[in-house]
Amino acid sequence: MVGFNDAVMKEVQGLFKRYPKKQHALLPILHLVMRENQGCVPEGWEDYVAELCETSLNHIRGVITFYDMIRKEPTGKFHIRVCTCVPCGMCGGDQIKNHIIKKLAIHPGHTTPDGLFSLEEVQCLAACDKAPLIQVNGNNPEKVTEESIDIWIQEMRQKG
Amino acid sequence: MPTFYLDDEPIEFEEGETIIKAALRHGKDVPRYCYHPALTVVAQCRMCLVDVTDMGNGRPAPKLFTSCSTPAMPGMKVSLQTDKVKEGQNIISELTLVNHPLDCPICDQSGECDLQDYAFQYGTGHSEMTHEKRTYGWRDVGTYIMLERNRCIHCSRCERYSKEVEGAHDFGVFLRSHETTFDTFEDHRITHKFQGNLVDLCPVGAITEREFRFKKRAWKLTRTPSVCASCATGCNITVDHESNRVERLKPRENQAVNRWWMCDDGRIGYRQLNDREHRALEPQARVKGELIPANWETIQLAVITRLEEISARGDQVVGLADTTATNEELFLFKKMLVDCFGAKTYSPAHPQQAAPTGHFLNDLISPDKTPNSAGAKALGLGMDLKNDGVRKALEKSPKVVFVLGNPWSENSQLLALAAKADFVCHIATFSSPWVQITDVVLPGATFAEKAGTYTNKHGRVQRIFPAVNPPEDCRDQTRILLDLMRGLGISTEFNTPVQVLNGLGSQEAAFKGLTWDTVGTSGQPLAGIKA
Repeated sequence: MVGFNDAVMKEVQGLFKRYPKKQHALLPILHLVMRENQGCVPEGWEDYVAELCETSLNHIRGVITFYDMIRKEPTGKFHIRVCTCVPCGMCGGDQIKNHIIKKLAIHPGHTTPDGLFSLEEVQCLAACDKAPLIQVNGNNPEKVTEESIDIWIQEMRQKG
Repeated sequence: MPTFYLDDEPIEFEEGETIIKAALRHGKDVPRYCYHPALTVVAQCRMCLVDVTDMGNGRPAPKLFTSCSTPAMPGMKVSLQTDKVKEGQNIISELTLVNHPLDCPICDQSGECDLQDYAFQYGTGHSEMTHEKRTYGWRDVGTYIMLERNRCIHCSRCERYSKEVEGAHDFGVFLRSHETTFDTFEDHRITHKFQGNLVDLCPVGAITEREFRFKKRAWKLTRTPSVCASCATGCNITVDHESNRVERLKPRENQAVNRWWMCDDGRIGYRQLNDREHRALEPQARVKGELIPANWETIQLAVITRLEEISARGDQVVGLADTTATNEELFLFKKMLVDCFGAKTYSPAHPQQAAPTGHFLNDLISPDKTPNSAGAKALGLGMDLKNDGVRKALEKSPKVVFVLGNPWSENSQLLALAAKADFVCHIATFSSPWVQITDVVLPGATFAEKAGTYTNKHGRVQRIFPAVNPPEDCRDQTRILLDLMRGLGISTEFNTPVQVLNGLGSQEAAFKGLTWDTVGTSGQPLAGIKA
C-alpha cells in the first residue's frame, strides 16, 4: 500500500515543523520513503510525496533523478558500491569495477536477475587509506582484491 | 533618482532594481537567455555578465557579475565592453553551444533565435568540444507545441513559466549535469490554452509551434502591429505575414492589457484570416431569387436606386451591426442610418466576464468572442442581452434592413423577421445565414486587412493596421459605408478610418480627446475610464 503508517507519519510531522514550507522537507521525507521500501522510491510513492509536500509531481521526479542515492528501482540483496575516484582509481578501483561487471554480468545501476546483487559506482567512501574499496549494504567499506571478490561472491551465492 | 553608469552612460534606476532591468528599460541590449521580466531570476545562463569596474564605493568587483541578479547601486560603474567581460561572454557562448545541434537550417526558430544572435554577436565562432553531443528525440508534449530537447540550452524559462505564470507545473527539470532535461512528466500532454507563450519564451527552437513548423522562415515575415479580434480582451499582437498570407499571430507586449501573453485560441485566429472558403468574396445582388455576382459600380448604383424607390424613413429602416466591426465602422454605420433615414442601429450584447478570477492568463479569455462590444456600447448602439429592442424593431416590419457583419446570425427568429423586409443590404466579411435572405452582399475586409480601432472590455481603444490586402473584390468597410453615404447624398469630410477616429473624438462624448496619434501603439482608455 502506498502511504506511511501512523508511526512514520509522526516523524513526518516532526520534519514539517523544522522548515518554513512543507516542500522543504522533501529530501528527509524521501529518505523515509526509502527506509520503508527497501531502499527505493517505488511506483505510486512519488504522487503520495507530492501530495504530502504540497508540490508538483515534476518537482519530486526532478529531485529523485537529480540525486544518485535516491533510487527508483529496488536494490539486490547485496548492494555493492565500488569507489572509482582518485585514490581508489590509482590503486585499481576501475579494475575492481570491471571485474565485478564481468563476474556478475551487470552494469552499474543494475541488479542481477536472481535479485541477489546490485552494483553502483560511487565517489569516495571516505576510507582512502584502505583503497581500493567496496561497500556492501552500507556496512564499513573494505579493502578488496579480485580474488577476495571472487571468494565473497561465491560464498554469497551459496548462501542465497 | 539614483544613477549608475553603463559604459559611461548614466542610467537611472529605482531602488532595489537589478542592473539588467534598468539597462533594458533604457533600451540597452544586454545578452540574456534565462532572464525574463515576467519570471523569477535564477541567474542560470550566465550570459548577462557585466564587469563592475566600480561597485559604487570606489572598488572594482573581484569577478564578473550576472546583471540579472545584481542590484544596481548609486554611482556604480558597469561595463559590457571590457576585455574581461568579452572573454566571459565568449566562454559562456561556447559552453552554451556545447550540446546544441546547430541545426539552424531546419529549425523554425532560426532568424528569431536568441542563441543564434548572441552566438554570432558574442561568440568566438569555434569550439573546443571534441566529445559527442548528447541527444534526445522529438517529444510531442502538447496539443499546440512540440519539444525538441536537443536544442535546449537549459534556461528553465519553460519550467518557471509553467510554475509561476500558468500554474499548471507542466514542465520539470530532470536528471543532472550534462544529462539535464526540461520535459513534461512521462507521457503527460499539455492541453491548456496558454502553450503558445512557451514558444515565445523559449530563447531557442526547443519549443516550437505545431502549426508553424516548417512553414516559413522567420526573417521573411513582415510583422504588422494589431489587436487580436478573437475575444473582447483585445490582446496586442503582431500579424506575421508574407506574400499576402497571414502565417501566425504573436503577442506584443502591452503591460496595460495582455503583458507578454496571449491564448492559443487567439493564435489560431490566423486560420480564419486566410480562409477563402467561408469568405464573402464578391459583391452579389439577388436577381429572381438568386444571388449573382456584380461589379461594385453597378451594385452601388442599384442599392441607391432601390433605396430611393422604397424611400423608407424612421422606423421603416433598421440597422443591425455586429460587434466585430471597428469603432469607425460602427460610428459611420450609425451616422448613415441617422443622417439618411433617421433610423436606429442595434448591436448584439455579449455576456461579459463576471469577475476576475485572479489568474492573469485565464482572465485574458473573455466569454465575449467579439472584439468591440465595448465600442458599440460607447457609441450608444441599442444593446440588450435578451434582444428585446431589436425584436420589437423588426416586428414593426421595417422595409429596409442594413446588416453590418453577422449579428444574430444564430437567431433564426430574428432572421425570419428580417427576411420580410423589402430590401436587406448586407455588408459581409464571412458568409453566414444572412446570405440566404439578403438582397445585396457587399464583401468587406477582416481585421488584418484594414485600419481602425477596437475598444476592449476595459474600455481601452486600440489601433489595428492593414497587414495583408483583402481579396480582389473585397473592400474596407469604411470605404463601403462612405461610398453609400455619398451616394445617398450626404456629404462627409471623412475619407479614411484615421480621419473617422479623429472625427469621433469631437463628435462622440465617450471618445472625447481620442485621436489616432494619442491612441498610439499601446492604446488609450475611453473618456471617463481610468487607465
